[in-house]
Amino acid sequence: MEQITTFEQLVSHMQAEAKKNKIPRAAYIGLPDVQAVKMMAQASRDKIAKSIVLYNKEECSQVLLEAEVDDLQLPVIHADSIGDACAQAVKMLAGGQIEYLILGEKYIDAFDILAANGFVPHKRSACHVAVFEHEKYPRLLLLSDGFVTPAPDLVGKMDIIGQAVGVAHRLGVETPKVAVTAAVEVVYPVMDVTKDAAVLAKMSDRRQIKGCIVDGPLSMDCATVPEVAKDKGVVSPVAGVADVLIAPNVETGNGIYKAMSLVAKAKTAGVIVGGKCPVALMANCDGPDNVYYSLALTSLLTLG
Amino acid sequence: MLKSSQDIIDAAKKLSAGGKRPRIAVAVAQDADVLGAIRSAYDDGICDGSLFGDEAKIKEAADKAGVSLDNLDVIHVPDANEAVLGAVKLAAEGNADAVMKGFVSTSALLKGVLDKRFGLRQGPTLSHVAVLTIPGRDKLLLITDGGMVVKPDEQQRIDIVKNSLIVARALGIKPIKVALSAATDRVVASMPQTSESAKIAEALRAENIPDLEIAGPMAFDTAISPVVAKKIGANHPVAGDADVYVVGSIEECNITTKSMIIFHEAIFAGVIIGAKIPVSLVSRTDPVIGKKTSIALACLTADYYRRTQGEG
Repeated sequence: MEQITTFEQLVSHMQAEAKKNKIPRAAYIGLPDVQAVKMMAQASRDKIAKSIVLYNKEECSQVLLEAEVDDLQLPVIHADSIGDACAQAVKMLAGGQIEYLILGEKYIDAFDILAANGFVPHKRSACHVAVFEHEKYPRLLLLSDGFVTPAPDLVGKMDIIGQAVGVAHRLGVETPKVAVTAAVEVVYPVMDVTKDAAVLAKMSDRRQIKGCIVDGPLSMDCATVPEVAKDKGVVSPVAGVADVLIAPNVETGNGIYKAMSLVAKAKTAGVIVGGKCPVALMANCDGPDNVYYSLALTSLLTLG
Repeated sequence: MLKSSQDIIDAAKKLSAGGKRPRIAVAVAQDADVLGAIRSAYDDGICDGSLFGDEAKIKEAADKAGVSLDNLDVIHVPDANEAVLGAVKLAAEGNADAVMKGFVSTSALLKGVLDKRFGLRQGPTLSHVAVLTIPGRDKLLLITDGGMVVKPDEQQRIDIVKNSLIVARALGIKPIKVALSAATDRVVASMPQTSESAKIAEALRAENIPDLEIAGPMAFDTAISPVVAKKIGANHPVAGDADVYVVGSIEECNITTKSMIIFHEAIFAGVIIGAKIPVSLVSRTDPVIGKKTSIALACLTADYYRRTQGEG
């Protein structure tokens, strides 16, 4: 598979796949806003994903009405509460009626409900992987984790790298270049983040982390701007050309996500992986396109 | 209220033209980028400069930067530590308004600033306050601390908030809307920074600090975007309109800020607060306008200190 470097390519790829495979089906948990409803209907028409909504039917029909989307394009199944919607979703997953879930950031609590009920298998951890497309960067840029894992330790970071690299592979990035980010690009004994990053880089050197090249610590500019990396004398196969950014903690990941989506107006998609199925996640600050791209990304992950 | 980098530069020029031209003491001045920044700040009428360091090396660095040293005082002090002490002493005696980092480590510079002989030590915590001009936003954003305290504890974060208020006041921001960061707006047991931010907001509200509006935990988008704040029904006066964003770690500040610089051409300026004088530092990679804004910011902060001397 050729490497996907834009969302446009991702969408065409999924449309081509739809001809060969069944179109992935998804359930939105909660009350979507008008834009999300429009985009889910659009994704359905474009054979990216067939979605349904699990929530209070009355409230949903008003939003559908406003979005001028009918119940055939976006069926609504009544749920009394978010908890009920989660329970129904899990049942539908088990019964093979849907392949994945969709959440808005305002319903991220629902993920905790799911996780508490065995959605995330024991000994695994879930993490969020974001995908950005920005005019200043010649390829897709992935980021993990800005939403789910609060303060990963070394093992947690290995897990996050594995999950994010898995998504990068699905996007056709053969050997993803992973930058473990920090405030600086050197190891400072007082900065634990830099030490973890250096350990991960060494583990990658020794092939303990496979399927990718990991380097760190790398500052954000050393990771993504080749001139800065060169100017600072950072010699690394990852510096300046990172495919994946690993954030040291959820607050930093969240800050990067919002800086990219809200401030820098990057095109974005996001998904939580590591559970029984992937969960597309739309952040509060994302534009409507994000719904469409997140569905395309998450559908891609559910293909066999 | 100043709204952009250019506003900060203009305000500093106005201050200077009004007869209170500040003087910046540069410690170990043999640094081409710093000399370039001081030269352009001088030429713009922002400040005077006293350059402490090895004279021959300063001349060499100035040649390298392609700038003249006319009208800048060069004080020949070959030893780096002595040059730091010379610059700090000038400020301590009231003959310079701010100290600026040259070709010396930040820690060596701050050691000099905090040297008990000079009496410049003030608060318990030194922190870096960045002032960002974000294209498309109609006000400045102060973000802190991305430079000094690696992982502040609760008390240090309170100090960091208070330090940031000094810069906000120096910039004429009133009321000052401060948001304490987290990855979400709710208190979540699995994310300790959410409850810490809530506690700090409550503690500072209880202090009744004039003109301070404070809220937390607040995610970055909720803090700076009125659209997001409205969408999620966050109706606190800080939501969507934050002047100051106080983060939880050096990484959070540094990487979030750099994302906006790299991908959105935000202009970065900064100053170290916590001593009785502002400490200015510029990074080699800052563009000219960022460096100049940092110097202007130090001048405005120094002026604020002068105006409020003696106040608690």
